[in-house]
Amino acid sequence: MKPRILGKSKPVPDTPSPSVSTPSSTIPSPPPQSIQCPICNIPMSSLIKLNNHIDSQHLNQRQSIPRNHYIKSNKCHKCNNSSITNCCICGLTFCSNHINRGKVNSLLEFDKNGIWCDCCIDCINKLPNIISPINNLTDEFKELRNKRLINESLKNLLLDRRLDKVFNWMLNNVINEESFINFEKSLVNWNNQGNCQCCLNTFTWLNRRHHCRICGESVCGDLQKGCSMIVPLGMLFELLIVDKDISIQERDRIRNLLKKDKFGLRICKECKRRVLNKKVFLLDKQQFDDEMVKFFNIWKLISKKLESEDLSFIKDDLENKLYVNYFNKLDKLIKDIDLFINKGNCKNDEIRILTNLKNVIIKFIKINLPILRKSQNVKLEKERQKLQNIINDRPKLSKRELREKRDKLIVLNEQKFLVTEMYETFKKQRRFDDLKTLDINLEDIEKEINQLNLELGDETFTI
Amino acid sequence: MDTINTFGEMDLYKVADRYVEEMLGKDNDTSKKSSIRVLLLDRHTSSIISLVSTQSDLLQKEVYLVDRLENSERDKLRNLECICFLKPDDVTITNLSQEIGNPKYSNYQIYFNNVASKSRLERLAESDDLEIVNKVVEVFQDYYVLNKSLFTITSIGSPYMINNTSLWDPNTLESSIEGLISLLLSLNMKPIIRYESNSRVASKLANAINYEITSGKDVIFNQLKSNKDVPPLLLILDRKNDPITPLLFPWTYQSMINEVMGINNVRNSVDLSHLSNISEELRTVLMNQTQDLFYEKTMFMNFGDLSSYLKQYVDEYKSKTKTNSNISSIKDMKYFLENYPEYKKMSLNLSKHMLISSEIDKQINDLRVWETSEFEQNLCSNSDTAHHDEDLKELETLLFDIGDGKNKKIINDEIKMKLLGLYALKYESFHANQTNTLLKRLNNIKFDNFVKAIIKYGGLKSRMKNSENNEGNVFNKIGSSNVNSGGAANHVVQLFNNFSGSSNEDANAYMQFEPRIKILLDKIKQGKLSDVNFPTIGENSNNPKNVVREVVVFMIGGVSYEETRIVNEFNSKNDGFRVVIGGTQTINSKQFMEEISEVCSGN
Ligand SMILES: [Zn+2]
Ligand SMILES: [Zn+2]
Ligand SMILES: [Zn+2]
Ligand SMILES: [Zn+2]
Ligand SMILES: [Zn+2]
Repeated sequence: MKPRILGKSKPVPDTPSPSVSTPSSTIPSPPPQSIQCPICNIPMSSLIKLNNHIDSQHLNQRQSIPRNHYIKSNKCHKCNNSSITNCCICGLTFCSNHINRGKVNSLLEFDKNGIWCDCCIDCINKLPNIISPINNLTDEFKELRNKRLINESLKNLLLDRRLDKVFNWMLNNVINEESFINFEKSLVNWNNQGNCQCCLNTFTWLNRRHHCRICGESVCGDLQKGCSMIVPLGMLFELLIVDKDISIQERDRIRNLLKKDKFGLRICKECKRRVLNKKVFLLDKQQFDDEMVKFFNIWKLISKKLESEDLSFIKDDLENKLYVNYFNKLDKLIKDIDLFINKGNCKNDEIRILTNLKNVIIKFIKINLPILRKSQNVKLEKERQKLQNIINDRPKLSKRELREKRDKLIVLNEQKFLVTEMYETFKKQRRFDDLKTLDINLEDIEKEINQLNLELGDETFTI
Repeated sequence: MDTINTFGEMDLYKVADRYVEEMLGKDNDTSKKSSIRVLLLDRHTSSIISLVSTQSDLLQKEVYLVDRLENSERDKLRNLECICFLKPDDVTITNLSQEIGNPKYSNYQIYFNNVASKSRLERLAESDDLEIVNKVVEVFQDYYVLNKSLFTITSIGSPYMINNTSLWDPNTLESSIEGLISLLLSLNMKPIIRYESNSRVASKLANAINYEITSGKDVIFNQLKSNKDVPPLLLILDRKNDPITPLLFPWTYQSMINEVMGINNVRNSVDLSHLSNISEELRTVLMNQTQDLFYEKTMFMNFGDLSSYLKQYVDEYKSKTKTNSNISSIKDMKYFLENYPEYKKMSLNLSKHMLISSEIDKQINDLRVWETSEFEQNLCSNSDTAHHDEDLKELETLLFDIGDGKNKKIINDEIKMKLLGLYALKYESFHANQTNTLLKRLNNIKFDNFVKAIIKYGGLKSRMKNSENNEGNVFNKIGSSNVNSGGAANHVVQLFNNFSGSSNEDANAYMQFEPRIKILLDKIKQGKLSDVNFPTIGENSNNPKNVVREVVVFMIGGVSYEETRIVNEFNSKNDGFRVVIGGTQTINSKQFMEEISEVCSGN
């Protein structure tokens, strides 16, 4: 590393730096009155600037680049041109076409705090690919959301407690007009404001004042305006039980009780937003007809199984049956989906989703069924071959064995012939005792002939 | 010597893929069951995403419903998960807040395609009473990807104010800032910014980008992790400094498609529906190089090479199908049927390129491009005025349909206008300039207006001064400008022997001209771009200017596909370099002429 330039040299006028950043670098050698950084060759307008530059850019880099890996050669490693420049990273030599500059640290890595060095194209090419960043704001978002929810939570807690009161009253009281009106008024003190707390309109004899039973504020009653509405107790009950444990018997009992009544609680828009919306959302999710999701899950289940199998090879009949069964199930699934769509009570978006799902399944079958067919053919071919082998399956005999056995067969046949003749002769002569022995003899011979015939098979008569 | 560029590519499709995977990829959390998912987009992001993925890509990722956030007709499906890919602008935040306040789906993962301000995040948080938003992420994809190294901003259109090309149209400026910021972030870049000093629009944009990066407004810029040893370069150019390139007829496949048929900037598609007997599947065809291997191979080929490549491809297809259509055995037929989808795909793709290339062939013959292009090339591939008389004579022949009667087809006014415009630009300061005489003879107000407009837009008074460094020169011949570009220059010149209607002229006649962008890229590579013409903005870097490895070029006023080809060629021939190019829009000669006529119509 070159020593830092200090002290005075020729006084250099501190030229005002132009708005464009660095002075012209189009001119190959710096103008006579300018100074260059000895390390990175950037022209400097003044000595002070140069000192600052060296302090900030080069002083903490006293690390030196090792050179003991440099290889001596006068040929470019890439094109065989004559060359003298070593790449400071790999140490090989390169010509000017194949060398560039880069900042390198003492570990021989590219580093924006490194020192300018000669680096070959190959080493530069090994720079990693671009990593496109993502910026996760979820935590920040949740923090913002919580801040707001905490602000609201105190009020919401109060409102929630009143709703709990309503719920308990439903569970534990005889519901009639008198008890209801008494209860309704006991929930919260009513405020008598001059204008609606939701839309700020003034109340008149046309626009009468009403009270929200949960917060007690004055609100308009006009349904069209939507500042408040009367929620029937039956509906309220359904909302209140979404996040509560209640036995089915108890639930049905209250449902029946509330069915007959036409009581309702007036609830304002703000209270609805604060405490009821969440319950509506939960109820909606619970009540959702999950047929569509069922179809999807069946598809996922079967496709996952099929994907984990190697369809291009079938081990045995059992496996084949299994595969075929999967495809049959997919086929049935498609038909079920069609049926479901044609029932006519699907929403538009459900139809779009199911149609897409159907197309995905059909595409899957189109791709995978031919693979199964192919391997079924392979299996069939194999089985046919096996059958053929069973038919042909006899222990093979050596030529010598073949000859010996054939000879033996001929001898036995001659013996048989002789014995049969003798048998006839003895019969004529009525030598019945001898006939018996001949009988046994003949039997033995015939047994042996059969055995030999079996062993020789087709080759009995070929010589 | 052709070396394969192993340098980590700056491939905009790969960047997009990574973001799509981030949004729609399977969660690493395997315990989570897969489910039907809904993807909500807005008017910006629906185009952005359809440029980089297909419907079947989305289905593969279990997105079974794609819809627009602003569509109020959507059904409530509160058992489904929803992924949102949205631009965080005011309209969308308002729509999204409403959606969250009264949700149609069970929960929401929100991906913004650009930097979302804190105040907008707050607005969103305020509407999430039900706590159904479980993810908010910024990805950076606020631009259209058209090629691996070509992009445009999303509000395409003229960047200039009517009657004043030194002022920005405010909408386009905003979209350009947003587009460039998201592009730089997606490429993990905190660049040095240089711009053309003679352009006020370039300077304005450069300053605006610099402000975004350095003001700390977009915190993300300071969080970029990168071990790059040298900073990348963002070079902002103004179309007016090269009005020639978009006017000349190009002779490479992709450029020709755009010139003759027009490639839709928003969909990256070509409309073929006006051709006769077009099957349903080929009415609109996509020009996405990642989905069409034939296109990927041929997009930068010259027309001669293309036609022989196409022939080879057809033969291959024929030989492949022949053995099977011959159905000599049942086995053959079975094989054919089993592989039918593949054949169908191949034949469809083949038809697409046959249709396009034969339409181009027909058009260039009908429009007599063979003659006009040769004139354009001879006129524009040198800056000396010695050939004026020949050029004038040739121009007169073309303008006034002089010559043999066997050429029944008359050159249309649009092309004549273009030729005259080129002449007017080339000989603007020449003492014997005949532009006015020619205009008088033509006696057509359309011509008067156009010539006036093009001179006002890109004439000598407006263009960068040409000095010995050649940075302002727009009339270049291939190879002549290069000091030492490693032998790449002459490589471009390909023989045109295969042309169907080619006359037996000089073989290189149609590709003599070299776009100015090539000269600038060479200068960047050599570190010789001048500070006077291309000042750097912002903090003084201690980077010797001859070391640049990554460059983003942005062309205000529209980028031509020919410039994209130059960039692609530059990337593949210069190891250790990677360049992407973009602009406020893509243009062909017709669109460029219309734009100029519009913005320079007054006095
Ligand atoms: Zn230095
Ligand atoms: Zn070399
Ligand atoms: Zn090296
Ligand atoms: Zn009201
Ligand atoms: Zn209330």
